[in-house]
Amino acid sequence: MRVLIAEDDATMRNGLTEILEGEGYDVSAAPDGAVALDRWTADKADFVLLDIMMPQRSGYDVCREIRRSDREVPIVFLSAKNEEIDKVVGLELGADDFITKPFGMRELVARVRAISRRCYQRATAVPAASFTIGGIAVSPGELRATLADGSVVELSLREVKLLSTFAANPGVVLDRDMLFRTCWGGGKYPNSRTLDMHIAKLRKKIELDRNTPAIIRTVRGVGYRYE
Amino acid sequence: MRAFWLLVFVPLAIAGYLAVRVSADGAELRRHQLQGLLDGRLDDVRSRASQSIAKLERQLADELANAPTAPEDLRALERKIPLARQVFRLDRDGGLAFPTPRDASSEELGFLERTASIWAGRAILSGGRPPDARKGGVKGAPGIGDSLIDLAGIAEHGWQTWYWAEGLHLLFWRRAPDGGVIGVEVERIGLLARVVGALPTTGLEDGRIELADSRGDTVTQWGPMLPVDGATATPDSTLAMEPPLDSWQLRYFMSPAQRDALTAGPGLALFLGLGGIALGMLVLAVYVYREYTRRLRDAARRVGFVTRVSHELRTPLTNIRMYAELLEEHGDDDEDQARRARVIVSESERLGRLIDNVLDFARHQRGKLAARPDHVEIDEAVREAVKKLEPVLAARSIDVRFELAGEGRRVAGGDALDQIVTNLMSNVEKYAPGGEVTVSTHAVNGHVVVAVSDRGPGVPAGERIAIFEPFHRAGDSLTEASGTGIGLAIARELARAAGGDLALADSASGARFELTLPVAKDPP
Repeated sequence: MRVLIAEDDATMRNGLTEILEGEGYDVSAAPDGAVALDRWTADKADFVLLDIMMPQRSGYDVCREIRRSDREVPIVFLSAKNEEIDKVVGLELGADDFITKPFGMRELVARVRAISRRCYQRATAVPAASFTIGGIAVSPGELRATLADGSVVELSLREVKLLSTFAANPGVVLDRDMLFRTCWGGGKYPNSRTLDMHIAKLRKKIELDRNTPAIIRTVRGVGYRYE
Repeated sequence: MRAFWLLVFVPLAIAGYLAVRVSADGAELRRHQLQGLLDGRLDDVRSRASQSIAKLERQLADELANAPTAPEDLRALERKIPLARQVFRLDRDGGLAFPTPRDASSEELGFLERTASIWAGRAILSGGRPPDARKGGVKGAPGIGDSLIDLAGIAEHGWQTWYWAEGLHLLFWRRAPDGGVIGVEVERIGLLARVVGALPTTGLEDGRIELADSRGDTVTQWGPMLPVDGATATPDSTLAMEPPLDSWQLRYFMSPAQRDALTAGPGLALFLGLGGIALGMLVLAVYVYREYTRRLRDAARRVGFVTRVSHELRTPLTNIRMYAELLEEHGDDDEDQARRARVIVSESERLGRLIDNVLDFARHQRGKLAARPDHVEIDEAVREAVKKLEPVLAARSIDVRFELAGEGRRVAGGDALDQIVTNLMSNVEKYAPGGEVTVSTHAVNGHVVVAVSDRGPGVPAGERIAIFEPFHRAGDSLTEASGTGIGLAIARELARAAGGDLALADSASGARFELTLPVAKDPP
């Protein structure tokens, strides 16, 4: 799933990119409104995060232009302009949500996941059909998994991709390269610590004991395997 | 704006309309008053003439009271009565009994000739009923004899006028005891002399009064204003004389100066006054409008300032929070953790600088901005201030070149110097990214000058003064560079509080700011 971010503050732009790539999204980050529109024109996105006060073209302008060609793509404003009128203007222009700064990462991720559920059919990398892995029922379209004890956990897109890849290859050792190709794609090769970090997060959610994982096991020096 | 000018011009238009109406009504009133004044003066003149004629009437009536019938007695009576040109007698049938052609003298024949037309009925009759056909004389032609007889049945005496040859002639008649009429033809010149003698030919300070006969010819005139030869002037007022001279009229001619003095009203003064009021209202309206728009601008700037401050505070705060949560989320990655921690520190410092500016501005507003007395070495302080911003400047591809020649001189207010230099460099980062900035120091005349010169677009000519105003921004649109608009204002106030100044110097390209501070005399 592709995300277009338009944010002139470089620190925030990099932080958002890191967070959303960690979630499994392909991120295109633009430093101003004009570049954002160029990126949109050249290669559409599955949803858009827009700052409002930006050089060249404001977030309002970018939203207006995107809506001219696509009335469906989710658009979320990230802005320090928190007056009610600002929110009204943004929503009237066609935005789907308005996140006020300062926001925390968790809040951002929750909002983005909610949007992803709505536009899941636009994504092509992850199958929409539910599947089971290790007694866990995974619903890709909802980015959720139901555990054996009936509890429901939220999953990131990356985590859904990882589980889907493991479920499709039971008993097969999947090395890091293969997992990067399948779950990151686009020629992206984060460092191995990133993969380990995601696996650790996933285990924390689905394993009864993350220190003694039963579903996704580590194969030292090679990768991981679903038993 | 439209409504504002309507509020100015509508009252002015109404006032102008009312002024025109008042002026017109005033002019009309003055015309009536003037006419009344002139009519009054002519009436006064006429009344005197009428009184003179009335006196003559009484005299003639008394003289004719006996009404003799014998020609010798009538001739004797004629000699006795002043102004009597000829006595005449009508019998009770209206026939002329005296004089008769049979034994008339030459004067009496002249009378008969002059009056031939009236006895024959061709004269203009004055008053009374149209005459009946004369009994005797010209057959079928009406005469005045019968009419006089008829009049004598109504009145004691009266006048009869007719025109012959050189002008108006007058008969005074009185009813005779035998039912006939006795009368005299009045000497016209003598009568005129008596009337003119009664006229008030003095006391007319300006202008001219004329007594004109029935042909319009001036009989007599008086007044200091002389008629222009050949000019036909229109009288300002006319009044017909009373009978028997009712075909004559009095005319009043005003001099131009008199006319202007009497007709000049408040019109011009009113319009001048109205113009003055209008000008005053316009000036007041312009002042109010400018004050109103200035306050709107100030209010808009304050709102814009609050918005930008909000944005400037919230963005780094968001970053701090976001990265802190990333650190927490991925706490086992030491290398990344160190990087994220650096971001948190940097953003915190950025927030601190902004807060310092805002607090300084608040202190300045309360008049409590003052430089601290600590002394610092100028070159070292400038270098340290710039160094703190190196990461930010590097991120914007800004190269810093130092040309420090302060030669160890010291200045007061280290914190202020640090904040001023920081604000100047912050502006370079916002408005002149991607180029070189030169930071220099040198000493001159007991002061040190710190100059920051960039290669950016420079400051537009129309903004050179305004950029030092609080809240001023080159533009308030959403696409303008970030910032609150108080950095330069605070920087200059801090410089002045330290005994120096901050100015925008002329530069061939880019912007060049020069901070001037007095050299500290004694070390703290």
